Amino acid sequence: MTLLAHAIGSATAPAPATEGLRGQPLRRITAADLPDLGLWATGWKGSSGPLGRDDAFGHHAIVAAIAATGPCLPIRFGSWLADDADAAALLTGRRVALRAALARVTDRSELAVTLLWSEAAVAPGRGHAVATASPDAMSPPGPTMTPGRRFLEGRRDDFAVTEGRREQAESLAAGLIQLLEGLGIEPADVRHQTCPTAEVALSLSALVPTATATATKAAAGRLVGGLDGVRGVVSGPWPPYSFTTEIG
Amino acid sequence: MNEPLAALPDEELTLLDLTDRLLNRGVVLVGEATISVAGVDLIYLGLNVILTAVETVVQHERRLAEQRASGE
Repeated sequence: MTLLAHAIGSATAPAPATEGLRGQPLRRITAADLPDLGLWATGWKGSSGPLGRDDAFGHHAIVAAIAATGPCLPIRFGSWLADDADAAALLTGRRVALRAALARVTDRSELAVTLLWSEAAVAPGRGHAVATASPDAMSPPGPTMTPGRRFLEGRRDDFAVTEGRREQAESLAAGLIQLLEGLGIEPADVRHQTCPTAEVALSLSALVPTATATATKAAAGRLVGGLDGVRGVVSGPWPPYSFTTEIG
Repeated sequence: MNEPLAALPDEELTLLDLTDRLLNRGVVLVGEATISVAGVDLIYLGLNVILTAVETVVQHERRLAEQRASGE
C-alpha cells in the first residue's frame, strides 16, 4: 500500500482523533528497533494521483491533530512512500536527527509573522520616486536613448530599488527579532527570510510554547502593528513546519 | 492581474502563509526511499498568489523566456 506521509512523532502517543486524507485510513508506521518513533501516513488505496488545494489543507488538519497528541515533525505536503518498509527505513536512517528535532519542538508551536510593504517599490525616474532621485536619474529617457541603454538603465534602477528594500527589510527583521525577544522568544528559535517576493518584506517563523502561543500571538500582533512602512500579519499557532531543517 | 497582497484581508494572508509552509517547509523525504514528491498542481490549488512557491515558478519561467529570447 502506498503511503502519503504527514508527520513523524512518538511511537507511543495517543492516536489523533482523525482519519487519513480523503477518508482513507490514517496509519502509524514504526520500525522494529525504534520504540520511540512513528511515522503517520495515509494508507493510499490505488495509485498516487495528483493532489490539490483541499488535500493540502486536509494534510494540515491531520498534522495539527497529530500535534495535539504530542510532539511531531510535519512532513512536506505531497511526499509519498512506497510501503511500510520504506517508512521504517526512513525512521531508522534518520533516528538521531529525528529525536533531536522532536525534543526541540516538544510542547512548542510555530507562529508566522509576515510583513508586507505598504507601498509598491518605485524605481528612480518612475512615478513618485522622481522627487527624491538625483537630477541625472530624474531625466526621462530621451528620444536618442537606444533600446539597449534604456534596458540597462532600467535594470540598474530595478537593482537599486531591490537592494534598498533588502537593506530596509534586514533592518526590520533585526528590530523585530529584538522586540520578540522581549516576549520571551529566543533569537535561536526564530527563522526569517527577507524579501522572498517583491511584495513581502519579511517572512518570519518563531517557535513558541504552545501553552502561551495565543497570548504571544496577540502580543506579537501589537508589535508589528507599530512598524512603519509595512503591514504586519501574525498567523498560527501551527505545527512547527519551519523547524525541521536539521533533518532535511 | 492579481490583487496586491497588501490589499488582501488578514484571513487570506494567513491562508497564503500556511500554504507556503505546506508546500515549502517540513521534513523533506526526497532521495530516501521515496517514490516522489507529488507534482502538486499549483493551478488547481486555486489561490491567486502563493508566496514562495509561485514566485519560484514565475522566476523559472522568466529565466526560460530570457534564454529563449537571447537564443533567437
